[in-house]
Amino acid sequence: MERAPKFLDPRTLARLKGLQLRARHIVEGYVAGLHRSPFHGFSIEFAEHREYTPGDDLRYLDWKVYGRSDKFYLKQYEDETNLLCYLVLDISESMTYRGPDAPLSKLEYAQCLAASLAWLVLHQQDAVGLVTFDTQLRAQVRPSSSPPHLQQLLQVMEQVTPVAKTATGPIFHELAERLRKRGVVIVISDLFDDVASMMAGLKHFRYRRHDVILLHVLDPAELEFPFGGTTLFRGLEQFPELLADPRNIRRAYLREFGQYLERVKRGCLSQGLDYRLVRTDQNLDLVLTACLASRMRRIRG
Amino acid sequence: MGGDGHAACRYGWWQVGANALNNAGLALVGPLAFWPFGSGLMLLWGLAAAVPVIIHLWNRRQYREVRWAAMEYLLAAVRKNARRIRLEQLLLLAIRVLILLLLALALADPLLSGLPAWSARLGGAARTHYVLVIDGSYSMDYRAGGTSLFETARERAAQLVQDGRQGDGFTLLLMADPPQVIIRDPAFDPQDVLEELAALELPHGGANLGSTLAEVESIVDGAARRQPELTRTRVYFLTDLGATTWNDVAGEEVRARIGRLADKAALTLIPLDSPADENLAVVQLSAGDSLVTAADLQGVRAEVQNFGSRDARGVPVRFFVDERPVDEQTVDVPAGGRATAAFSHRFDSPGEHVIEARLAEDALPLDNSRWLSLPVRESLRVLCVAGKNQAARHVAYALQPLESERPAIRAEVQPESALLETDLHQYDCVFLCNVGRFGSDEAAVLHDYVSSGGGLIVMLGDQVQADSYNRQLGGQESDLRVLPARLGPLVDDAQHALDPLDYRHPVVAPFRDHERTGLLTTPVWTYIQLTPQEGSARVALAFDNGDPALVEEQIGRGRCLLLATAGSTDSLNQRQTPPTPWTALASWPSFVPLVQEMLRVAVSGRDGQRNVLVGEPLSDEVHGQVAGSSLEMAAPRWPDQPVGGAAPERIALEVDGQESRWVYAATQESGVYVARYAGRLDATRMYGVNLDPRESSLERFDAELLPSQFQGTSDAPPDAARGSSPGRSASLFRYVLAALLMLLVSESLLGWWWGAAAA
Repeated sequence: MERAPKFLDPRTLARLKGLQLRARHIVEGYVAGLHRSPFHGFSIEFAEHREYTPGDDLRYLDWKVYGRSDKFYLKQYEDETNLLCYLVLDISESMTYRGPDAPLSKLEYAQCLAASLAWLVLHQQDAVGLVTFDTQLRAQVRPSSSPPHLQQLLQVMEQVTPVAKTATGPIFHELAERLRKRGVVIVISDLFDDVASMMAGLKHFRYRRHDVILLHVLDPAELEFPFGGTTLFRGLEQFPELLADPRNIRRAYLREFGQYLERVKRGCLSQGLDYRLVRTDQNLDLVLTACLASRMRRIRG
Repeated sequence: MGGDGHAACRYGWWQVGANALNNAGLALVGPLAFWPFGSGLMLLWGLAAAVPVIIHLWNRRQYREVRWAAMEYLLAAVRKNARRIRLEQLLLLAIRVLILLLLALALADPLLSGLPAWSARLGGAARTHYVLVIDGSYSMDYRAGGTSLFETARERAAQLVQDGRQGDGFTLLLMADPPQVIIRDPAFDPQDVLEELAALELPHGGANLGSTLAEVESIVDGAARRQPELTRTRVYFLTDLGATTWNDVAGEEVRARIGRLADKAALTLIPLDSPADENLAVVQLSAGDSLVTAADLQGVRAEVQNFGSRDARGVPVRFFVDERPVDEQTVDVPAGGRATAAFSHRFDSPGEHVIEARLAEDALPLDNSRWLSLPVRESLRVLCVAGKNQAARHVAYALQPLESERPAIRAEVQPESALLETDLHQYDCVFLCNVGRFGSDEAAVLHDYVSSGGGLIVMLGDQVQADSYNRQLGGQESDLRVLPARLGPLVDDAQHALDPLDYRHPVVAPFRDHERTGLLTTPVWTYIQLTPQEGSARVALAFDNGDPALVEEQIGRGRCLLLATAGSTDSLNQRQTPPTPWTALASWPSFVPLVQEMLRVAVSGRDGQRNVLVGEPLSDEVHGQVAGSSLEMAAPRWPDQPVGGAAPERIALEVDGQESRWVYAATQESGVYVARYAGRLDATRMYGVNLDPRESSLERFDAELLPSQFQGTSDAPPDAARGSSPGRSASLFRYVLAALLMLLVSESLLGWWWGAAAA
């Protein structure tokens, strides 16, 4: 697969203004290398063949049958609606963090990721919806597959104002109740919350037979803690301040953070969730590819 | 010993800072002056140790702010590790402070001397030259609880050797008189040194501090030249601090020597205490006569001295002759005083005899015995040479007044031709009575005879040619002088009496209180005026006008006595008419005792010096053909065989014509030395070697009066003793620096390990 890193590098994206521009760059760069859409036939079950009539979408023509019988048949699917994709975006205050070496804040990176995914889904004529949350649901855009829908999604994403803490557990429960139609739930968040509560919420999605993709967005600084010299850490999301020499506590922090990550990963694994750790200095195509490749495996699976 | 500005020069640019601080901080440095630093002023740099603390505090105020999202995990990390983090910070801070303190310490050049011994061991690679000086005076034989001080000193020295580190060198000296160097060049194998120490024996002499210090200095200088790798020198004196030895410390020369030595080495004195100072010693043992004949009843006197502070009553003194007990006396000896025990003995047979006086055992056993070697003759043989007929008649009568089968003195009268015709050495004494003149041959024979220990008594008379006497015997023409005085003109102006000159001379001493012998009333009308030779000639008897009447002098090992007047009544003064006799001496009652006393004095050198003090050489001469003879000397063996018990040692004889001489200098122990001539000369001679009684005093020198260069004068164990070596580079500089480097490395490692290197 060819790549266009120039367009997909977060550093390049950081120079672009506006989420739409950024999303287009990502997707154009990404789609230029695609041979086959990963969303094709997404979550749809084959039902039967029917004869072709003019005006039908040629994409569903069964070429194998044509090869054998010289007749045009279309593949019929159980659900006429192709795909429902719910993008669940965390807009809590902790998402605004941008480390010293990161080109984008976690939120900006998550927005790019969400926009690109929305563009890709819409590009396949499938429906995509959006939910933003912190301690509560902030905005909800119903899924739609119409092209202008993208504009609405981008607009909602650009207008977020992160101020509050994260409360993933209750939110996921609420969402699971609301999203009645089966679909793919893509959660984009730093997941700084109580792991047990969060896992309970995610379990609820699974109960509703949603496919859940968890994109865990973290800043490189949060993973490496590269600070030196006495530092006053001002906590986001109403945490207290801490004055410390980071060199003294680095190992302890990394151990603590590592344990947290391990808990999250183990939780996802036990519930069959698709978990991806995403660093904000990573090229977006890598994330998209990895994400979609796992989807492909699931569909074939 | 600390903070002098000179030593600071070794640190070039630091000196600038030091000088600047010198004025400002002298008051601060003052209290540090007692500490042994080469450059105490440099310690001021230790103030820099405050810098890490200040930086630490400053850092707490200087910080940057960071917004942080993953606060929950950061807080949890801090909460769980707060105590450990605090401890690590404090430890790092302490190491940093210590680094700067050590840097200041290294700059101040700490000297090894001021630090305890354990740090001296820590002193690392500096190799030390240990000079072990063990007191060899016989007072070190003092025994308390069965162990002598000397044995204790050996053990202490052995301990020092065992405590030494690899690469240290050891030299060993015995502080005796003269000092004995046992190991001159530093020995690096401790086993060798321990063997030498084990074989070390205490000589029975005193100790000479001055010459010992000179030897130590020579050893230290030699080692510094030949073994420059021995960068430090420590001299240990293991001594009982006997006053007899250490009183010399007051002398200018000894003090100067100690000062010079202290510049080159650290001097440490390890005093060996003796618990009490009570001691009795036989300090003198003498016989009445120097030449004893078998027929005589011989009186022997032993003097006992009490060196303690308490009176000693009923002290038994036992006398032994040839190791057989013969008598025992009891004396009371006052504190600090002397008492005499005496006994008489008649020797059964002629030959070599040894008398011993012995006290009961005490804490210092060495000085409880004293020996006297006494050769006993069958009789004395005397040759009386008569210058003219009857001239020796009176002398011969005086020598052998009684007819006896075993006379004590056998006198033979011969004409003057006998001087050349007979072997004079077979006689103990020769009387020359009114011999007129001498040829050079006769003069040579007489000189040879007297020099080798013979006695010569010259009596003048009317035949005497004074010129010939002066020329041949008076040393005018040759070096062969025999006479103790020059002969002058004849004096016959009046009758003269004799003046005993307070009976000082041994010849006339027995006449004291015996005026009835008539010595003082002896009439002399004519005599030859004598002028005593300069030197050792002594006037024993004078005339009432002051002219010498009897002059005595030791010539070589023998003695010559010259009487100014005649020894017979036959000498007449022809210048007067009618001729008158020179003197009535020969017929006077004092003549017999006078001649006998003259004989005793004259022959006193006949048997050589049989009794000497420890350290003095023994020497003797043998007359006659000794070709093919050899001499073996058996020294005493302590403590069980003090009479020639050791294995005999062959001694070289120095042959000079008819004379054979030998010298034996190794009289290190008291007792009886037995010389055996083998071959043609089959003879045995015994020599008494006794202690110098001065060392018997157990008086201690006050350690407080020792020069300040001596350190460790308390009875501390040797390894706790301190020493200084300002002259040698005994600096701890490099070791402090090494410790500093280790701390620097530790600081970096710990910092890295604890996350400091993760920035």
